[in-house]
Amino acid sequence: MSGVKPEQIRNFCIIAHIDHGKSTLADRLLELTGLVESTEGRPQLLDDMDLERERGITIKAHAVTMDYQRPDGNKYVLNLIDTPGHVDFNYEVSRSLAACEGAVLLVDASQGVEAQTIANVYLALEYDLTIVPVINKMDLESARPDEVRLQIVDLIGCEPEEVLEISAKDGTGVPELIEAVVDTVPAPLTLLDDPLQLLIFDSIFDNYRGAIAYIRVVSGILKPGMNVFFHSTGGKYLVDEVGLLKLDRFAAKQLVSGEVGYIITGSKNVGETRVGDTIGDVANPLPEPLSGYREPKPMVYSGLFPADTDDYESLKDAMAKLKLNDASLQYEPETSGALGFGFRSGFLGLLHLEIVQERLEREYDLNLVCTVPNVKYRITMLSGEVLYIDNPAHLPPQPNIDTVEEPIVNAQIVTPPDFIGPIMQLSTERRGIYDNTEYLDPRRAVLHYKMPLAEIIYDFYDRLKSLSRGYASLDYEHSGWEITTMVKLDILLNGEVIDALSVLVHADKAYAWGRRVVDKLSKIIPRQMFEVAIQAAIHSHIIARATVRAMRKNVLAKCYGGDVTRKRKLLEKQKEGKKRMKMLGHVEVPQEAFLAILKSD
Amino acid sequence: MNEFALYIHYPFCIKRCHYCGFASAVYNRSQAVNYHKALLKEIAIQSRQQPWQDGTLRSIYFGGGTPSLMSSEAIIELLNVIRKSFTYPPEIEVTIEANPGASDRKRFNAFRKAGINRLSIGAQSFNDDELKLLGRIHSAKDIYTAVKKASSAGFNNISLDLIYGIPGQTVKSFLISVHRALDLNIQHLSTYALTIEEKTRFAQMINYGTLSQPDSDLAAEQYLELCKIMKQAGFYHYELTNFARPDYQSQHNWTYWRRIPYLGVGTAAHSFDGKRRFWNPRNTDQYIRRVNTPENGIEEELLTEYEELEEKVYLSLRTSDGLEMEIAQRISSSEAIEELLTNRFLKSRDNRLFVPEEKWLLLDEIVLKLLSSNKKF
Ligand SMILES: Nc1nc2c(ncn2[C@@H]2O[C@H](COP(=O)(O)OP(=O)(O)OP(=O)(O)O)[C@@H](O)[C@H]2O)c(=O)[nH]1
Ligand code: SF4
Ligand SMILES: [Mg+2]
Repeated sequence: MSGVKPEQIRNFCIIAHIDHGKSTLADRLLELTGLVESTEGRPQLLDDMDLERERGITIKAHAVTMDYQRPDGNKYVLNLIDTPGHVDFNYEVSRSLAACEGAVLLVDASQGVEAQTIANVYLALEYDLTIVPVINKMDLESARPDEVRLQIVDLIGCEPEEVLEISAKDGTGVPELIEAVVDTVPAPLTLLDDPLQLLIFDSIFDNYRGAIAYIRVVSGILKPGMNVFFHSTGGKYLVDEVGLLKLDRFAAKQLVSGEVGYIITGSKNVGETRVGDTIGDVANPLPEPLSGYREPKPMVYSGLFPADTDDYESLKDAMAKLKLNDASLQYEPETSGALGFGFRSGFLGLLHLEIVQERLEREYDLNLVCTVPNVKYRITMLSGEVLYIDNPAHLPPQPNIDTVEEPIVNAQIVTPPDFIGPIMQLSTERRGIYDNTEYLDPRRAVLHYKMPLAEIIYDFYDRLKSLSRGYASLDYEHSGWEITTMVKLDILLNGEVIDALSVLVHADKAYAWGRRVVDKLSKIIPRQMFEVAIQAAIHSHIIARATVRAMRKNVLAKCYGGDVTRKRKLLEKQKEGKKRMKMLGHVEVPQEAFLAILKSD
Repeated sequence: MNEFALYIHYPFCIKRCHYCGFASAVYNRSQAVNYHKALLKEIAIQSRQQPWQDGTLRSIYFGGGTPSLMSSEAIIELLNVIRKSFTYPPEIEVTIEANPGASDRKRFNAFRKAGINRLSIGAQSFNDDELKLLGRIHSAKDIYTAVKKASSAGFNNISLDLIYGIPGQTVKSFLISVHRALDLNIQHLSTYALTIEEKTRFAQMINYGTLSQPDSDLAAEQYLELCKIMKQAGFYHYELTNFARPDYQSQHNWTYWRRIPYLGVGTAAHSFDGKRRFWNPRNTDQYIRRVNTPENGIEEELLTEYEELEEKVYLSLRTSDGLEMEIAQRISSSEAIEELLTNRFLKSRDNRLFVPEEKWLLLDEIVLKLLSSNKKF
């Protein structure tokens, strides 16, 4: 180990609603502890994925170990885990929390407490973490610390004086914050003599080293050369390397109870280092794994297919690798008449789906098509058999079905009172059942709704944001199942049912959905050599139709003075364009069509 | 005996037309003088190279730009050098492009005397509003005068160019232009659907929203009517854009479609030696410099076997020759060919494939179907 005693270690994470400044605060901490000189020019330094940097959000949890010397000369080791804020990634937050003793709760001084602030606080309390309450963005003119302080006091039951005020942007108050972390967050328990137990809170795949697990040593001492095993798979491995997560991996002789770091075993087997799993010592095993982790629960399902059917094997490989980085991704093989071989995949939400798709395309150089996402339905057959259906293609014939149930969530919407009207209207449109309204303070209401998950996954969040000018926020958790009337809506192109475009929708919404998809497709499908008839149908009863007229001209008429090369290049470009098209039946459909169907106008 | 064609580019115009994507710039006297010298030099150099040295010319073509801006002396000098440098039969087709707005009798007489026997006149339209929109320097009346001067200079092989698919143009106004052209007793007609080229005035206008995109449905409509009229008038539709009276098909045009070698001299001119395609700089100053320092290398591409097939497919299908079935079968799947035949986007005769006249405007789409149907490529 790094020669520190457990009482000098503080393991903490930063929790907050999305964009309240977690990653920016992490930057300041890295600077103040001297790990980096300055993050100028590369803000939100821990967000190291291209995708995170482009979108300005944290997608994966990031861990970093910092050395800190108090003004009195005492030295400490701070292990910080930065977590994502978006509701889709609550699971990532829960994993990080389990590896910590404390949580810095960050609340934006002008936004105040929002839906994920509340959700994350409950999680932190569940894991019994010490909360260090902080108001961030004090430099903003619109900061209203007095109100926000009261909201926080109400939420966690602390004293008003305990709430720190900082600006993560300019660094004001951050030194005091570090002091408060050292003072109030308890040191990890010293369980040096107990058998080894490691909690995997994250893992990445490295092309050279294989699976690398980020772990918290819960008890015992971890050294290279030990024989360890993974509880969930039983796989046994020799420990190659252990170390600390500075900005890069920093190998160490050992890691002891209370420390946070990484472990590299001989495991090249993708899928072995499961996030949430416990690693034990083969020589001195404990029978029970650590508890406290939730299994990641996919909320939405969609088919992922390679645009070029020849890429199936590459996709299979890429999914397996990505799964190691992303424990919440679940998938199984699926075959579609229209799209060929692919994977039915489960995601935490739509943002997660988009991110997985983008990462697969970018990091593994694939070109993908994803089908319209849906939730999972519980179907009771007349025979009494119960099925879970996450794929419209698997819906059993209607006459054999007794009931269909859909997942329901408890949704909390935090909003300034001004927007309550429109939000209620939106929620009713989305089949929400109103429960009650609480007031955090006169300027912050929490609306409680029961709502079908299916209604939230499309664009509910975007709509909510736009009708509240960005002020309202949403959090939800699964609360059970309710009986519903679903229909399978098919889309036909020139008379052929395109299975990849079929969706399960609520009976009352089928007509509107059909109309919308048909209109969208008629705009997205380019004119081709034939007229294309687009139809939406329920049980082969047509409910909407549109046509794309036949193309009449596509030729570069002029060949400039023998410039045949240009002509060939233009053709090749068109040929490339065709590759972005999928043949559905005999119709060429741009891949974007699948995503565009999801987006409301 | 290896035949080849000779193309001479003249990259100057009086004013740039709004749709023009050709290698041309506004006429500049001193540049034109240097350019003329460079042309003479390039012809001399190339004539000593293979395959040209051992070949025989099958056609000569002066294109542009506006080659009819060249002085009669300049043309005569060029033709003299060509005569000295290459061998060719006496009845060889020699074409020059002429702008109705830059056509005087004296020059036409001189051209004819120098051995030019075919005139391609850039009429584009007989509607003055359309001509103005196109940014042409001439009016409909100028076309009549130009043709009259050409006939009286002794030209009896005259081709006109017309453009369709012009924003604002109607089927009717285009057909009027076609009839006017036929009234002039021409032997050949070339017709082009307007395409918006990058960096042209039109491209800019579309950007600003002052011009609408050419309407492909209108163009298709105009094209079908055009085909009817030309058939009635006794013209043969021998290539997608070209119609000719019997015996008046352009030999030079056929060079390109049949992949016969050709030597191009001048700015941006392209050459093809049967395997290799190479071309001159698009900028005239650069071109002149290049001719004077030939060691500076040229831009070229050596065609792969597949690219050669690809070329054969899209060039042959442009023409009334059609494509050898055997080549189509090598490059695409038999299902794709079958499907195109069934749906009448192709027809077959004597082991060759043809695009029916009424489907010719879908040529690129048809070719793409063929080219993308074979997984191997
Ligand atoms: N004015 C001001 N802006 C801040 C402050 N802290 C963060 N920001 C800005 O707030 C935005 C969000 O900051 P991040 O650090 O990315 O927030 P986050 O909580 O990590 O966001 P997610 O990881 O997406 O949940 C960025 O534009 C920051 O520059 C602050 O103290 N003052
Ligand atoms: S005359 Fe021809 S080459 Fe010259 S500018 Fe007009 S279109 Fe271009
Ligand atoms: Mg962040």
